[in-house]
Amino acid sequence: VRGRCRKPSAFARWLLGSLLPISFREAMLGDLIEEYNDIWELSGSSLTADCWFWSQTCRSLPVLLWEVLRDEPFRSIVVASGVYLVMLGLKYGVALALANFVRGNARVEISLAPITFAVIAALGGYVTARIRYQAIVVLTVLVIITVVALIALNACPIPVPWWYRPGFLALAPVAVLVPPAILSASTAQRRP
Amino acid sequence: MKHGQLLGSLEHIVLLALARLDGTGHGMLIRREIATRTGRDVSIGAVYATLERLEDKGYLSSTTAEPTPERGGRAKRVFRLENAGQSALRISARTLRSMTVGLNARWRPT
Repeated sequence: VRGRCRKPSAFARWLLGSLLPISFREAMLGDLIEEYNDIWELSGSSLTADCWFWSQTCRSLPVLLWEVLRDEPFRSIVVASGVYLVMLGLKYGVALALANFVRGNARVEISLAPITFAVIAALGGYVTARIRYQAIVVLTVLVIITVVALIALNACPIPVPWWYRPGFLALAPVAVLVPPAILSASTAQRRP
Repeated sequence: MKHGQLLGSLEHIVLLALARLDGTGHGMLIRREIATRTGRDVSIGAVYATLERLEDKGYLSSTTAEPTPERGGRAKRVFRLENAGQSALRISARTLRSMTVGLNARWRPT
C-alpha cells in the first residue's frame, strides 16, 4: 500500500544517523527508507528488503566515514584528542576514587568499571558532538584503540569472566555514539 | 572546470545520470539510473558523497523538498544540474573522444 511507511532495522538507522554527515543525513536516510519500502512491495519479502538495507548500510559506511574525515581532518583530530585526554584524566581520577572507596573488593570494582567507562565515554561523545560532529568518528576510533590496547596488555589485574573484555570492546563505540545519535535525532525533530 | 582538470569516474557517471533525468533528481533516482544503465549497484553513500563534492565544485545545486510519510517523515533533497556541470560534461566527453579516436581497430572483441 503506497504511502504506508515500514521502517528498516532501528540499529542500522541509528548507525547511519550517528555517522552520516549532517548535510545529507536526512535526505539519504529518507531515500533509503523510500527504496526499502519499494523493495518490500516489489519482492513481498521483508527479508529481501532488510538484506538490501543492511548491504547499503555496510557498503556506504566506509565511504561516508572517509567523507567525514576529509572535511577539515586536522580540526577533528584536535577536538577528539582534546576530549579524549580529558576523558582519560577523568577515568583515572574516578578509578582512583573508586579503588579507595571499595578498598580491594574486586567484585564491586569489576562491576563498577563498565558503568563508569560507559558514562565517561558517553559524556565524551556528547561534548565532542557539541563541539564538532565530525570528530565523533576520530573519538570512537581512539576509544576502540585504547580498549584493544588494554586487552592486549592484559591491563586488568583482577580475574574476570570471558565475556568481560569483549563486552568492553562492544560497549566502547556504542557508549561514544549514543549521545550524538540522540542529539542528532532531537535536532531533526526540532527542525520545522 | 579548470583547464586540464577531469571529472572522476563516479563524478562523471553521476553527472550523466542527472543529465539523463532531465537535469533534476534525488539520490535514489540517480542511484537507480546508474544501476539501470551500467549494471553497477553503487551504494547510496557513494552517490551522496559524490553529489556533495559536485555541489561544492558548483556543478550542481540542491533544494530541500517537503517531508513525506513514504520517507519516514524525512525531507527529499533534489539536485539540479547547473551550467558549470553541463560544461564539465562536455569537456569530459570531448577529452574521452579525443583519447579514444582510432583505438577501436586495436581493441579485440571480448
